[in-house]
Amino acid sequence: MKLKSALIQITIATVLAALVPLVIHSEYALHVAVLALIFAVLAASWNLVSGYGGMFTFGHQAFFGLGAYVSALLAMHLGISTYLSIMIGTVFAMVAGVVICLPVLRLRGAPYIAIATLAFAEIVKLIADNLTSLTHGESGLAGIPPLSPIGAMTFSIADSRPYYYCALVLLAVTMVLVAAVLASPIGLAFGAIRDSQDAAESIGVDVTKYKVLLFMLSSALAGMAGGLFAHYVTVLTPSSILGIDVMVQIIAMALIGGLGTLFGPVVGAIILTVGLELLRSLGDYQLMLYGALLVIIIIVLPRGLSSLPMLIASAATKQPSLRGESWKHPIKQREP
Amino acid sequence: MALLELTGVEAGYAGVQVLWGVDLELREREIVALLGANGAGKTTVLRTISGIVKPWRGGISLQEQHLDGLSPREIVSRGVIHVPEGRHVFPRMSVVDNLRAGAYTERAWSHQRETLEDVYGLFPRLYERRSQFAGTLSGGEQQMLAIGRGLMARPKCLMIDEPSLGLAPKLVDAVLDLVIRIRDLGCTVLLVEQNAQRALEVAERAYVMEHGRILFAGASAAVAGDPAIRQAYLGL
Repeated sequence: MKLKSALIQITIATVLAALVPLVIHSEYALHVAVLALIFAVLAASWNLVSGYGGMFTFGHQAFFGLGAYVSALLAMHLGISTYLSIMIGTVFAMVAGVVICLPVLRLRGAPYIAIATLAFAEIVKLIADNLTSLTHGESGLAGIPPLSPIGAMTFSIADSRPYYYCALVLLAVTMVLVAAVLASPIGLAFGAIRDSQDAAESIGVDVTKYKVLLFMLSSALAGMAGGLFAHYVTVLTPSSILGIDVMVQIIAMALIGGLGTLFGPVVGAIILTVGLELLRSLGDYQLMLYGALLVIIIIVLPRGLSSLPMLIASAATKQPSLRGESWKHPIKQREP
Repeated sequence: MALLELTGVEAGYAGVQVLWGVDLELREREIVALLGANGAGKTTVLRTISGIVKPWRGGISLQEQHLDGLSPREIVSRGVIHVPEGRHVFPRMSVVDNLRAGAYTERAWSHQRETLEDVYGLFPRLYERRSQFAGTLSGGEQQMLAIGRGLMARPKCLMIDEPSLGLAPKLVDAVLDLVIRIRDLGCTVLLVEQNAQRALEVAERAYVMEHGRILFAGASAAVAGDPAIRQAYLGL
């Protein structure tokens, strides 16, 4: 996608999203919207390594959790501004990203990368579980301060509106960053590495350097989303942010929206977060229907919901579409 | 003057020696064929030149400057480009992005526009399909894209591994004709081919390999005219 058209689309989407709190007055609905935006950042950051980098990691929740816990603990114990603590949490997650990236660099097969990153995330979760003096384990870290006030805007648990705008800014910044990186020569290198590492090397792409860069960017964004999440919900438990179900949600969002597309993960995050809430009235049938919907979407639209406009356009002009066979799932990437 | 020179190169993979003292010389603006049966070490020669396999002994030089020990990236930026076997285009990138990615080194990036025009001139087909995903191209088109992508790096020396592999006879001719046109643009070509007959028709000189050694080097006509070599190593 051309940078200019991507930026225009991001701007339009952001402006439209900024109008939402003017229309929706229900505190509950806004709360769901804030969660959707934070998860959109998280899914977009995972989409960088998996969708654009072709490395199917399974431990992205670790960066989210690290960003959340580090920022929460710093703000609680040192009393520093929450923005500073989120920044430090972001750096922390980024460093963790580089650390986990090093063994992943030596792995070529997708299953090994998934297992190595999952193991890393489980270690982080176990530490959070057992370091009770700091995290209070599963009984939960409560009393996390809400975001520090910006000018006249103050944040409290009672009002989701300021958080909504905060999360929206973070998402817009994330999207612009991702679009700019992908439109730059670095984006070409990422695509080359994803599609064929051998060929990428043969054209002179420094594969190691770009993989580390991708991990840094992706884990930093996840950490930042975690920081915002911590100061929004103000209570953290290891299972709620470091559990494997967080990862499953991220994957579902990216797949349903469209892996390796700019807006796919955002669309997926909004649909899944809002959809799950809408289905709540069904009680016990909620998860059953939810699961069935996921299966149907993945079968009917293997490239995700964001491929729908393209599919309609290609059906109208009878152009060959990429739906189905020619699309290579990153899990099935070619072995050397 | 020699453009690229290998002297006594020995190399291999994880303790298994494949190349046993390979001497090879490429001059400016010539097409050289590297022939031999499967497993003779032809691809390993290319991989060693391009830095993916590090030579254990011996020297590789480009215009009298050492190449051995440099990273694949540095070797590419000096103008030695390897078009690997099996095409390896980037299937989920558009044709034009595949080509742009080929100009990835600093030296080539600033000339991207002109080179792209040259490549489209050589491969009008790629121009027609420029916005299509590379994965939707036919086998022959993908081979052309792989070669075109190599050219985008503005190579002094282009090493093409098995360009005719899996192509219909008519396309084999088209690809080999292109090799001549690429040479005419001022680029030296090292051609690894199973199709010895056709390779000898386009190449000026040829090297014949077996068991990791160069058995015979000489003008293409001499190789093609030697009944013993033809029968024993080329299967002609």
